[in-house]
Amino acid sequence: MTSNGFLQLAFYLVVLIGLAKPLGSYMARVYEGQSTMLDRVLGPLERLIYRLSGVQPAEEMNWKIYAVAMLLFNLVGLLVVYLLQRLQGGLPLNPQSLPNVSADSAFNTAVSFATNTNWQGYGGETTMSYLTQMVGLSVQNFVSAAAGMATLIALIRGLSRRSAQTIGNFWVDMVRSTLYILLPLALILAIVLVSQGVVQTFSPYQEVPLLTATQDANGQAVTTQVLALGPAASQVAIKQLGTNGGGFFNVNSAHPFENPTPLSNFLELLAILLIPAALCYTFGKMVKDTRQGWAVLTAMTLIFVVLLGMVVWAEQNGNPALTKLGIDQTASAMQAGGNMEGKETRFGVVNSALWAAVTTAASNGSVNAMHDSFTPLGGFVPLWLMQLGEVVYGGVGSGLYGMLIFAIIAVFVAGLMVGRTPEYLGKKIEAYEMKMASLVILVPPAIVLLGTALAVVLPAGKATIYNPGAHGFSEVLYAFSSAGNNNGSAFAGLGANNPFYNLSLGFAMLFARYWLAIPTLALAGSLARKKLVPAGPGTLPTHTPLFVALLIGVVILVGALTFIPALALGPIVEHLQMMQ
Amino acid sequence: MQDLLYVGLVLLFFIGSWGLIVLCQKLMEV
Repeated sequence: MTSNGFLQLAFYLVVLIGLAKPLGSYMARVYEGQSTMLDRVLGPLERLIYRLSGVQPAEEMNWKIYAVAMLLFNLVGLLVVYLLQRLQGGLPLNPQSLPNVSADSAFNTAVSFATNTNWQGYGGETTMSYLTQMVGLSVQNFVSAAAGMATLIALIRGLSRRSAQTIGNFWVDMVRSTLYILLPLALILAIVLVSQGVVQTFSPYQEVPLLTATQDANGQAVTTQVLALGPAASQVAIKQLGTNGGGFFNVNSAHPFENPTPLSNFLELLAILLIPAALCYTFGKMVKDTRQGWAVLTAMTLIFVVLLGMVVWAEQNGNPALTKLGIDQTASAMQAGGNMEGKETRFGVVNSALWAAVTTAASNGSVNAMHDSFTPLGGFVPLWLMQLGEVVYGGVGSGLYGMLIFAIIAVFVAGLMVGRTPEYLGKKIEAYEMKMASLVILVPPAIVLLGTALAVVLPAGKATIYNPGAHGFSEVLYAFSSAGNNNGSAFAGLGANNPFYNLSLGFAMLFARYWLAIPTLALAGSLARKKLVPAGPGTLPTHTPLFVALLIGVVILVGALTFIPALALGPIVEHLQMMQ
Repeated sequence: MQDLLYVGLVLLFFIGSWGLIVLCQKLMEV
């Protein structure tokens, strides 16, 4: 790696960690109902929303009501997005007169955006009207992220409250997440992105003359090109901040109208991990011990840095088979070096590799390069980052609640070693908590491995695997890892917009989102009821380097034991074939 | 017809999720 590349990575991490405390502190004030600098502007709007919707903000919910509210809200959102797609041909804001979306694709997309996955089997500019993009997809980008944040805050309340029956009010947590956190940040980012050249318009697509005329496949002269436009900036801002990831255009943030400059690239990268990292500090503030938040953030960052180093190294080294042929792959003033296939020259190897690691560490899924073109080891990293359960920063809310469940498993493992009842933040971890934690840990691997197995066995699944051998297997494994962990990025190369994949990946996303959120909320309810146990000499401190190491060990071991056999059939064997 | 199928499948999933909530509650009360 060049020193310039190293400096860019270091700068990114310093800014990210530096912003965790101020933003995390602000979010803690939002969730604890304390005054914030936005109260004067947003307070009246918040109260108006409660009045219009009949919500009593002071009324708290037990975990079951909280979970039912979350599910019903998501069900309604899902059905609205489905209907919008199925009826868009006759609805306004459709200057290209795009037809209604097919039923299976509409199902997949509605599920994808409601679950904060944003897996896209379609191409945005050729499929979705401006109305569908704005009212359907962008709105879900906000509210699906807010639902994840609400679930996390409920779990944190479960950990911090004692002998309580309630874990907060879902509607209040939703409204405050959206109004006070997501909307202001998205507004600022959207304006900055527009200044960089990201489009934001209702104009129809423009036909422009080509600088150099060319020919099509039939030898006919081509002198013009159609430029797809639309209200992209507003959607791009929240797609990154809400770790949604669904692109306005088909090639996502590799498109110059979604990500035009190095500055827009940096800001979008920062936006992806900003809230998930800052929520660690929010957690520390809300449990009245910020060391706990820093410990979790440290564990996430250490795993991330090692895997980021691996993907940058693999991509910068390029393909050894080409080196043997005497092709120079060294970075120099004349070339980026390394593996540049599928990457934008605007971003180069380092920023493409950084994006791949960031987008799969968070459950974001946006891309600025084609992951299918990465080297086998370069592709292994994003794949494994998703398979770790999207807990290395992870999605907004969902990443941290996943990591807190790993922390509960870590204290359980430590408790087994010394023969004591495990405790986390003064709460005894007993059989019920472990049952719920086990459910959260086991659901995603079951979805990913069963889904992949079915796809490579059934004729409908095999029909659209266009690459043979290990690479084709990696593409299928990647698709189910992405859907089964609510990431949404694609390896590409797999024909996924057909009834088989739309249905199977749709269900993978549904189970991965809600069948993790439900046991998490049950866990929150159970923990809230417990009394606080004072720390004793046998209590394992959960803010020390020892605990950070234990937590990392648990995350890596679970990920490795579950997925290495499958990975051995995909990227690992592909790497060995390349080395031969 | 296709719409009924997909909407029906979604509703079925959410009904199943209600079943999971009930199961989690029952386990808590054991």
